[in-house]
Amino acid sequence: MILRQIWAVYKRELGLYFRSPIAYAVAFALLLLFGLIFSSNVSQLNNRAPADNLNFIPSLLTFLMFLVGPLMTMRLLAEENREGTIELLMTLPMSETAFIVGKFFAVWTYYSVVLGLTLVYYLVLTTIGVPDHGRALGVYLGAWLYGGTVLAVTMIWSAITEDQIVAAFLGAATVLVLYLADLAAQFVNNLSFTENPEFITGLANGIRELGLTAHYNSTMFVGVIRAEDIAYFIFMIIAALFITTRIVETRRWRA
Amino acid sequence: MTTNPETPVNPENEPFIPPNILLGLAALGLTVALFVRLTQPQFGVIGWGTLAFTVLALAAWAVLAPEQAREFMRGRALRFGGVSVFVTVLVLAVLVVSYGFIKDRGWRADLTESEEFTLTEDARAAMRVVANDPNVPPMRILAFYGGDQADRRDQDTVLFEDYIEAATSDAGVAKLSYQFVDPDRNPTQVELYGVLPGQLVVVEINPDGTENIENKQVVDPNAAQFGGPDFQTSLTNAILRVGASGDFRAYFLSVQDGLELDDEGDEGLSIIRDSLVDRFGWNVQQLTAVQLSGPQSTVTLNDPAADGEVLIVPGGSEALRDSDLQTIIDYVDAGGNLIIFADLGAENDGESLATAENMGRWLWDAFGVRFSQEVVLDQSLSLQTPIQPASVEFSDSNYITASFGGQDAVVFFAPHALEIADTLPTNVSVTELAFSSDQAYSKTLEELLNEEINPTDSDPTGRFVLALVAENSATGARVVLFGSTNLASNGWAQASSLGVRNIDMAFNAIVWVTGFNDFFVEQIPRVEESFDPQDAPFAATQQEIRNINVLTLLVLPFGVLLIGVLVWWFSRERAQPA
Amino acid sequence: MIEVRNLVKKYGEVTAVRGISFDAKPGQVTGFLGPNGAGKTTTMRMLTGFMPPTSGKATVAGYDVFEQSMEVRKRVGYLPESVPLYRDMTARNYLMYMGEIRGLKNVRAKADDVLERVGLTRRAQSRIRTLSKGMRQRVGLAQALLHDPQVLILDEPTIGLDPIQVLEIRDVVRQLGRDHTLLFSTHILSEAEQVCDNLVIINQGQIVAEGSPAQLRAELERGGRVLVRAEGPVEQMIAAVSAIPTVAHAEAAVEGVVVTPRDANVDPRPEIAQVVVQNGWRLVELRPLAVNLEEIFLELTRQVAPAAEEASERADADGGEGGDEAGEGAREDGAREDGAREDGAREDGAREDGAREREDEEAKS
Repeated sequence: MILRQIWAVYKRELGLYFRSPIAYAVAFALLLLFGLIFSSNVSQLNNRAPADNLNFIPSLLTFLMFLVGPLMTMRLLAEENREGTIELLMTLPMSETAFIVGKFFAVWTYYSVVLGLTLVYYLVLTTIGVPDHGRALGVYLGAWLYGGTVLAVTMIWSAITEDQIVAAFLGAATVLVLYLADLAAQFVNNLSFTENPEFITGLANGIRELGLTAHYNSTMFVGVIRAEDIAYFIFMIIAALFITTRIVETRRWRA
Repeated sequence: MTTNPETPVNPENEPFIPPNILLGLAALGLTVALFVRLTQPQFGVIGWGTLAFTVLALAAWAVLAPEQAREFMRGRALRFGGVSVFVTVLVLAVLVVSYGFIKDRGWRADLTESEEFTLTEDARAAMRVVANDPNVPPMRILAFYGGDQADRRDQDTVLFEDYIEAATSDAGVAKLSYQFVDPDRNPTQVELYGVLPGQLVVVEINPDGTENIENKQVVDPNAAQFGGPDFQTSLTNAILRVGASGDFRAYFLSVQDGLELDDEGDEGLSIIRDSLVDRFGWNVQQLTAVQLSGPQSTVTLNDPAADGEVLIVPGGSEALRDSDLQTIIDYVDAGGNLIIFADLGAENDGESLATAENMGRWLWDAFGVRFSQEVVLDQSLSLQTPIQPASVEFSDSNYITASFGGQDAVVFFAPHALEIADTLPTNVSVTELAFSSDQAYSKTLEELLNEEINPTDSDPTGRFVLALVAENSATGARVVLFGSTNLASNGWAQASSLGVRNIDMAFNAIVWVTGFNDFFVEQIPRVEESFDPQDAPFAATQQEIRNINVLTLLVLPFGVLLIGVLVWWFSRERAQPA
Repeated sequence: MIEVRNLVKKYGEVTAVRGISFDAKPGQVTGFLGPNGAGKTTTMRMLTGFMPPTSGKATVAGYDVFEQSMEVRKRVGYLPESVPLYRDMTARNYLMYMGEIRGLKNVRAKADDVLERVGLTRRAQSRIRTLSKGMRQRVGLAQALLHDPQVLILDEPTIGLDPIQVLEIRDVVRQLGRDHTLLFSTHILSEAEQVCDNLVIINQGQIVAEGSPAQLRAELERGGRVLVRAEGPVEQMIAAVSAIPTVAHAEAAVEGVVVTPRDANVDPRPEIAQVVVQNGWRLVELRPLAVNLEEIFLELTRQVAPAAEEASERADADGGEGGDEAGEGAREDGAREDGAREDGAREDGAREDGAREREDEEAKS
């Protein structure tokens, strides 16, 4: 039952993405940018660097997700709130969870398609060099989970506000904070706190592990896969979806 | 929350502290406690304090707002009301704890085909030796990675774990451990070990668990960028070196026209020196005979404290003075080890240290062997010219050549043949290591200097011994004699990839005479860099680059745009008839 | 079919519904009548499971709206006041989507079926954004009927429609009332009078009157209040009239003195006339008061009007959507009191609403 409902919501949302001109415009802009960077890199590094050095497009996509993610998700719940359609949906025999999970998987699928399109660059690499397939698996798996996490996190803002622009801005800010946690950790680590250096180091490590980059750029991106990285992304998605559900519930309880 | 309008709440009955704030405090306490648990080495006062605070806040909440607490149990407030914030925090806490649990398991995998973060087979074999050799002390890798090198820390953890697993003996005792040291926080350690941030140190661990700073090796992970070995090779060698850290000493004798230890040219010994010093941490010096035994001597020969000792005579075109020879004789008689590379003697009217009368007499008396005056040439088995006869047959009973296979060769340069007495002195055994082919012939040095290198009928022919070992089982002395000096010189090291094992033979001789091979129970595995196809640069022709440009700049983005326009157009068409 | 007992809903400090109780029976149209901001929408949202009650109990089709929310939702068809629809879907796709979420089988056949029932078969393939307001209202109604629910809850289904559409919808509601339990909210009295079998009048979150339109009227007439107009000093007149044994209470009003009898079955008029004449005042008029529902409604809702304004101010200060809505309701409260006397004027207002919404849409697209 719940699966059918998730499927129904998923189908509708996915249909919306693939009918919406904005989704194509975003994909176009991304692919054009990737194309420019990739082709110029091919010419510059020809005969100089291993093919693996060119397998960076997914990581570029994950970086750009702080902009693209909010654009993808801002509509999802803000529009339902604004149009009031959520009132009707929440009086159907469907749990909020099914509704939100369906929406999330739809936007994640859209992201996966964009990510899948970047496999073209990888195929190009296999024709001109010997990229490391195992590493590529890590690169793409990580980028996929990373994207899902960003989407889930930005979805929270879409649930909180009715204004899509506000949702997008706050979403971008949140993702940027998570992206820069690495730098913040370094900053904290460099604080001179001689009485209790272990505390500062622990704090810095904690901040770092909260961030997105520590779980992708330093491990999966180079082909190392760690259980905690996968757990981080999956747990972040679960936590974000849980919070989103709470907010949707609280909104109608307060409405 | 559940009061009915019939019984309005008297404001004076409201709790002094709003219950929701108490819940918020409890959530905050729980968050802090979790954070402490996950990031700090000890749970400590803060951890227990915040945990107790959480419990207190919850208890106060239950006392002050019993209705809410009841509602919480019933489930209504679980989803609605201020409690839902607390429930959310609780769910997050469960996730964080699960994350910590998974992190502690430390499950990792190296996906790369080139196995960048996995030990190579060579390194794994070397670590197995380290693990199971009782003589190898436990060691620790200290990685001086700062806060800005957290990425490296994550990546290298994978590799270090692999090292530790490989260096764990069959009995389950780990010989290796690792530790990250923040150089900014521990400047004293940095100074103590003399490292730069970003470098690593492999250090021996004393039986009492302290670090033996005397026995350490610094590893620079960036060496590969400057043409050095890759990170894994450097680290493996450093571990071997610290692990093999017996007190081994090699003394090279300074002689007229002999090879120089610090010479990095083709005729130098720097490769041998670096192998011994950098890889195995030997004490290697080049000394004159006076420095060896004179009143100002800086070394002690036959030192019982040393785990192994060798005296190497790298050529020499003049006979040793009798007093100097006597030093050597005393040393060998007391069980010392000697390696002699014979100089051709072309510089000094055919005279050479090895073929000199005093040297020959002593060798003949003590070990029943000596260098002949004749020089071996070979037309059938040689490298380019008859004066470079090669040996492809080796003794497989002695360690020095036991590992040489059918494809391996050793090339000599105008070697003096070795003569062996029919009856050896008592307690002495001799093993022939390398031979010329049966078609080799010998000439006197004089003939050779007159550039008569083709065989004549008067030349003795046959199979000549070009290298041998002699061992006195009573004194324990070991002597290795090589017919020419070029075995140890740098110039021949480059040929090793062609199967020319000159430098390996010299090196193995040093290892064998000192018993270093027994010190490491097994033969030390050769750790070489691996080269993967993934490391090769990609190559695209101009046509391919043009094709790539068309594909990535036009086909892909504009294709997507076209599909978008089509989709938009058709959905617009369908909307119209309505 | 719908049983409400002591239902309370608070938004923070503001209490929107203050412990109401009523029943709605199968085969009847129960009208939920009250000014905007009275708590109608809040009550309906609680009954449909959209929001949980703060306290009290309500059962729909035998299931508790909070504890067994999913069971209730399966059996209820709900048309929210704003008729939220996905504008970019066709009417049929929208209904099929709703059907899929409800877990129905043969969603396509069911969608076509309800479209026929609301007379929209011709527009099944049209995108909802191209439909008129009345058609959208019918799509919303079709959605509520899709799963053939036992209980229908329609929140102001006629708001914003033109008079002809209003008549159509009222017709549909009457028909549906025959075989459903139908709860129907409105702030238009004449509509409630025409359509409902049973009326619940709510104001300020409290039920002020309940019963069939005829019952309510009879009850009031039975109350037998009497208006006395005479030429004389009002103070003395009140004192004199109050002294009559059958009179319970007398008070001054704009037109004269309003007299409430002690026993509704005993008409005090002869005694009043007598007293007036005895005192030498000239009797101008002596008649029973308030015989139509309009006046009952006004009477009942006016009494608490000052309190309502206070509440709305607090709701405004509360911020958020809830506050806004309550505030809007209160603001319209005044307008309603003026317009309530004339149905036509109110429907002008409703048309204005519609026009405003259309403008909104244009601005959006």
